[in-house]
Amino acid sequence: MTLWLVWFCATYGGVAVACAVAPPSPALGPLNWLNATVLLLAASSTAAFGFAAWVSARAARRVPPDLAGAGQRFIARSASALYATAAFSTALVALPAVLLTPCA
Amino acid sequence: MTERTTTAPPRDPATLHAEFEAVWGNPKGWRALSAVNHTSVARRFMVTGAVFFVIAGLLGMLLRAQLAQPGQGFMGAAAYNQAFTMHGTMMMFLFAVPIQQGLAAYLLPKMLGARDMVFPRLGAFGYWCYLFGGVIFTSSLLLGLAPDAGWFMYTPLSSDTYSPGMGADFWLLGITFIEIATMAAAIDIAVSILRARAAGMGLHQLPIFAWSMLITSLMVIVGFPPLILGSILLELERSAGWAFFDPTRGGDALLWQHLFWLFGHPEVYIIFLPAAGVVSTLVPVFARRPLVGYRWVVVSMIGTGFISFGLWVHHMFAVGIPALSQAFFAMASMLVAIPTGIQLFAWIATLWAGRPVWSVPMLWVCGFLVIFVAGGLTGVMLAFVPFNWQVHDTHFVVAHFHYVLIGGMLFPLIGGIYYWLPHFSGRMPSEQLAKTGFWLTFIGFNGTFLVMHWTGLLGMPRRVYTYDAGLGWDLPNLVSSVFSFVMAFGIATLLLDLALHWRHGRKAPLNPWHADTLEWASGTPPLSYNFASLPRIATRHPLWDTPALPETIAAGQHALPQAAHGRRETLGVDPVSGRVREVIHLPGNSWWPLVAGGMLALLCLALLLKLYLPAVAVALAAVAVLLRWSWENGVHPGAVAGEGHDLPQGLKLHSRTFDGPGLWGMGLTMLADAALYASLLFGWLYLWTVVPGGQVPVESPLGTWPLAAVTALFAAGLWTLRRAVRRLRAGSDAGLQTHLWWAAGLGVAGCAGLLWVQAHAALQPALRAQDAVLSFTLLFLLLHGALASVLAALQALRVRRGHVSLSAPYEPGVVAMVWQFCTVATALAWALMALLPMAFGAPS
Repeated sequence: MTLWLVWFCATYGGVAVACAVAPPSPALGPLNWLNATVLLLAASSTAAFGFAAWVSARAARRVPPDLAGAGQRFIARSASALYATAAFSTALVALPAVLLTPCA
Repeated sequence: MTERTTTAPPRDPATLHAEFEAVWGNPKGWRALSAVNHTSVARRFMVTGAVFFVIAGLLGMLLRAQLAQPGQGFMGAAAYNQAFTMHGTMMMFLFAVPIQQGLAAYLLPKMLGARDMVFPRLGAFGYWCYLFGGVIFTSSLLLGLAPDAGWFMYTPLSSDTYSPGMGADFWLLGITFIEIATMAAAIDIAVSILRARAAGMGLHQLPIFAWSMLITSLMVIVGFPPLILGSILLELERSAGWAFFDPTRGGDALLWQHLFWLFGHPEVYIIFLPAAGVVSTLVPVFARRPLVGYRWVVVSMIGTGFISFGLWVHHMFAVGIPALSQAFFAMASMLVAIPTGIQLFAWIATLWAGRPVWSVPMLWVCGFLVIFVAGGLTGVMLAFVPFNWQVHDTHFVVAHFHYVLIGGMLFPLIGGIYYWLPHFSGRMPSEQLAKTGFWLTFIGFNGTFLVMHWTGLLGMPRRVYTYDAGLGWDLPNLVSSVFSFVMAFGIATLLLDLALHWRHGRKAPLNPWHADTLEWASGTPPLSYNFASLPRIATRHPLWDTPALPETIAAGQHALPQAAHGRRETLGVDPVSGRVREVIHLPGNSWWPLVAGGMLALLCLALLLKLYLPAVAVALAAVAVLLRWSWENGVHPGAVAGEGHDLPQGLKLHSRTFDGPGLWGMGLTMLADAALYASLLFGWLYLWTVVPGGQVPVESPLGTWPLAAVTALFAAGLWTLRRAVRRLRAGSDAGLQTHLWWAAGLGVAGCAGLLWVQAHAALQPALRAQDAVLSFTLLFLLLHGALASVLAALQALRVRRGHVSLSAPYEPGVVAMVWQFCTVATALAWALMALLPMAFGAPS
């Protein structure tokens, strides 16, 4: 989730700076280099978070199902859920870039 | 099941109690002010918070009395503005956060199987800062000098042009002073949860309330510094004329809004999450089964905590930010409802799958469920930008946040107070008064604020002291005002019940609710030392799994069952697994917290009265007091009695190891510092890139290389310190003092470099916002460099006195963290303020 916050700040900050220094033409609507960059970054971040969620889930399955492994299972499963949350959150928050014109 | 951990034969409980009481007991009379015991300090926090709640509530009643009818002259505009500002500020800063931190400080060591928090003196210091800061702040009401620019103090209204009096200064200085308490408590709570628990209690077995407080405390550590920075900058603007938020000098009023809401949105989850933790604690007890979806609830709270840092602009939808940027925050604002919903479903599922027992605490939980869900739904409505524009700054918003704050915080808090009341006092409240109080409050609250949604939709703005008749607002306002008095009677009934129960309440049985968590084994009312011996815990429900635990604890049959050595001790554990690592020794009663708090109060007053030279003198004296206090640490006789040769096999006192609470506390302090510095760097980049005409010159006034030289000096000091720590770890303290003196010298050289940069940069902070940011950055780096140098020098003196050595190697690693921060911060300043303009600055 820390990484998700980093993505969020980079996206919001990046859009703000881009709009200040090199705004795409409003006539282009949502089909411009800035929205494309936002969506590309979001897609790759979502994929990365999703992969991390899968790896964590797999690690949880590999922990022996006894009492001694309870702590490790808890952490691995929680990490998997949090990475999945980050993936979902990234995709959802970036969705408006499909439709909205930046900088207007 | 909990393992039997009979590490010692049973002892006579009375003898054991006397032995512990001699070490842990509070002094009597006026000497009780020196008590640092977490139970005492936490009680003070809660009682003080309740007093501020009553004052702020009375202010709310004045507001409702004024708005009951159109055109009333009961309060003029000036008085009304002060009243709503003080009502909101006191509720948010002087009640909601401190009282929950107080509840946490009271409960957590008991729930976690520890004898105290890890930084008892810090907690006591936090209380005095809270009390003195709160009194100074509240006194502004009596003096007719209360702030009147709203609880969020937007610039330029709060700047000296439009708020020339002392009101805004009371807010900026008073609240910053109080925030010291909040930060101190957060660091204490976080480290206590991570490092001071019962043996074997892994993260996956933490009481759910501990999870909520851990997440909340980490949010405080990262979320409060942006406001602290903003307050310092605004006060500098008001008192020294530095330009940060003035657009005519390159500043931006929106910068204040960003800094405020970067704090302000996490703040509301800082207020909600502890209450959610209370609900997650109560529901399983009264459902008579474990919480459904423990891991889901933990993940949801963590998710809520992180996502809440991505919502702040939804308080700024009306300022003209582009639609796409607003949409990011709109989506995130809707997203945050999902983890909250998961918690709700977990609670409902627990009740559904359990065998609920209805009680007074559960009445408040049910009230919470109804009211908070309603508030959450209007929150999702407000997340839609077009709808937000329609109701922005109307009473709809007021209704929404009272639903989520009162429903989401006050109701669970009162439920928690009723639940733990037998623990606090050993007595039960009156069921009749309690139920009457609940229904009056519930009905009164809904009558006041449900109608207020309608008032807002009809267009009534916020923060207006009166309104004309015939706008359709008359009847809704009258209804709200009448029901607000019903709610006030409800609160009064509760307070009466609490007051009377101390004298007339029937004696509470041990564990009256048949709860599962450990705090019910610490005595009702609790003992000063919580537990005569510390059990091994391997389950989330210790008292359900081992009902005899209170007896075996009291008989000294578990770990650390003695206090004849004169030390206050608790176990230090691995934060993840709960494996015991060391024995943490804790400081006893001390006057340093009160003295230090008093010095800071004097500093606050001097700044308020604009007595700047005396303020400098008081500040230096305060620093001297804090450093003198820090001297009584580690193996200093004032901090620990005895050598610890009587410890269980394989364990050492933490000051004899390389790890301990102080390392973690310093780490979290540096995290807070980093959050503040990151906010400052954000301000620099914001003023440069986003503010119209904010281009910085390609030739930085700081020059290209001077900051690099300062960075190198701090880095050399850091390397020297780290080398000393490496050698200690390798088993050698040869040359330790020399290393420390060298580090201190390098730090002094670095500070001299910063002063040289400041002198040669020809900055004009009163004329240009960017120069103000650069000046403030240099000052920030100078203060940190000076602190790092002084700490290194003090370490060298402690080596000479034998307080730091191969057998007491702990502290240099703690100080090295400050050096690390200094080095990285200076390097970042060089990169962003000296080098980056070379690449992207405007030609001169």
